[in-house]
Amino acid sequence: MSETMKFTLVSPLGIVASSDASEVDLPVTEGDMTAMPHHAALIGTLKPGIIRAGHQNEVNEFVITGGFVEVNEGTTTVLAEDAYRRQDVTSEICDSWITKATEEVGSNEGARRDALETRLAGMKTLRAELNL
Amino acid sequence: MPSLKDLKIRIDSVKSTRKITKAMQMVAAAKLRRAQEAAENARPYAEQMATLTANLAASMGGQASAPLMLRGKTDPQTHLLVAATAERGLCGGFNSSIVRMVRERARELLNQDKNVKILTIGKKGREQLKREFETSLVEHVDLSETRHIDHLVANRVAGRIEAMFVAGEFDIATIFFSRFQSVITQVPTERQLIPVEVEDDDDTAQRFYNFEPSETEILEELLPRAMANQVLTALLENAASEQGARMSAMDNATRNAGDMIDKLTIVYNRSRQAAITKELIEIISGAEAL
Repeated sequence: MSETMKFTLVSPLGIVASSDASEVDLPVTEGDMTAMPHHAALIGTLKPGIIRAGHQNEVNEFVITGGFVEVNEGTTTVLAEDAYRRQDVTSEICDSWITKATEEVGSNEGARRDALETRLAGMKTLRAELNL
Repeated sequence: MPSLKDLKIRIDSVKSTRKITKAMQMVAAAKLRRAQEAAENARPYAEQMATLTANLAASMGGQASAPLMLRGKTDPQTHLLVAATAERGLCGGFNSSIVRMVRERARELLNQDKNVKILTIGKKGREQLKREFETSLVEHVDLSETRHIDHLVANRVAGRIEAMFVAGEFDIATIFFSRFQSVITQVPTERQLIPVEVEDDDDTAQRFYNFEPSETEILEELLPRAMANQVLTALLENAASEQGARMSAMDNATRNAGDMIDKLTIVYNRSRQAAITKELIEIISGAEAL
């Protein structure tokens, strides 16, 4: 695997990651997927989860609480409101996400509430997966 | 002619004013650096968000199924003007220039028989707009407790705007803020929030995307966020502009105070010398008379 693509992860606080990658695992809302070079152009929403950007036996892991992804011929761009390197995520950060999401669920109704509940559940699963 | 004592008091008071303005200038300079950094860090996200929105909107191609937030109403009647100003004064024309822009736009819309609603962010704008448009002020966002502008603050503001839009309280929303160009130049700017403005970019025009989930669902998620991001950008630019404006205003004030002190000191020295000369003349002419 010598072919690579450009992987960028941006949050409102700045660029979290910008590197070459030969494959990127993405937690897309409707199931996990892996983007590789020459992947068909795609725009999708992301659920809380872990992004793994692999390049030459090295894997960088990032944690997000949702966002959007745009995959093109040679680029994968992820937009996430909260994005951290996996090693930087602490249980406090995780808890603050969950508290905030719980509040949001409480203050919304109808379809929006369902969506937020799914997101909250996703965060809890993520917390368990992170093993903090 | 003020007495020597009056002059002395005056000089001392201007000196302490100068100390204060000097301190404010330095505080503003320190805050400006941070605000500018925050604004710059937020830029890549904003750019990506704009491209993504443009790509999505291009593939939706103005279809009737596009969310209302994107295509907007055909006959907009009610305008929401979001006036983003500062919580504090003493920053030159920063607040006034934003308010002036909002005021002009509001008058123009009222002349066209449109409804105007105003949402104010920051105390200063509200105070100034209250005089003329008291009945139009619908909401106010208080930022005095907010130490850092981040996406959470912006989401809160955007959340309110979105809720009002969903409730059908307005058709078009525009935000007014000051774009930070340099420390001495801040440009009052208006930007349309709803319907979400799409940048026309040639290379985004024709590309075919797969959507996961459907494009309508993505748009429903994306548009509020794109709008929130516009608000965030505006607030960050505003924060940097405010500090820049305050810095140059306080720099001017410090310099003026210095000039004033110099002038007063000359007057003080002259009057003192005049008093001495007068006394000498009195003594000499007294001695001559003997």
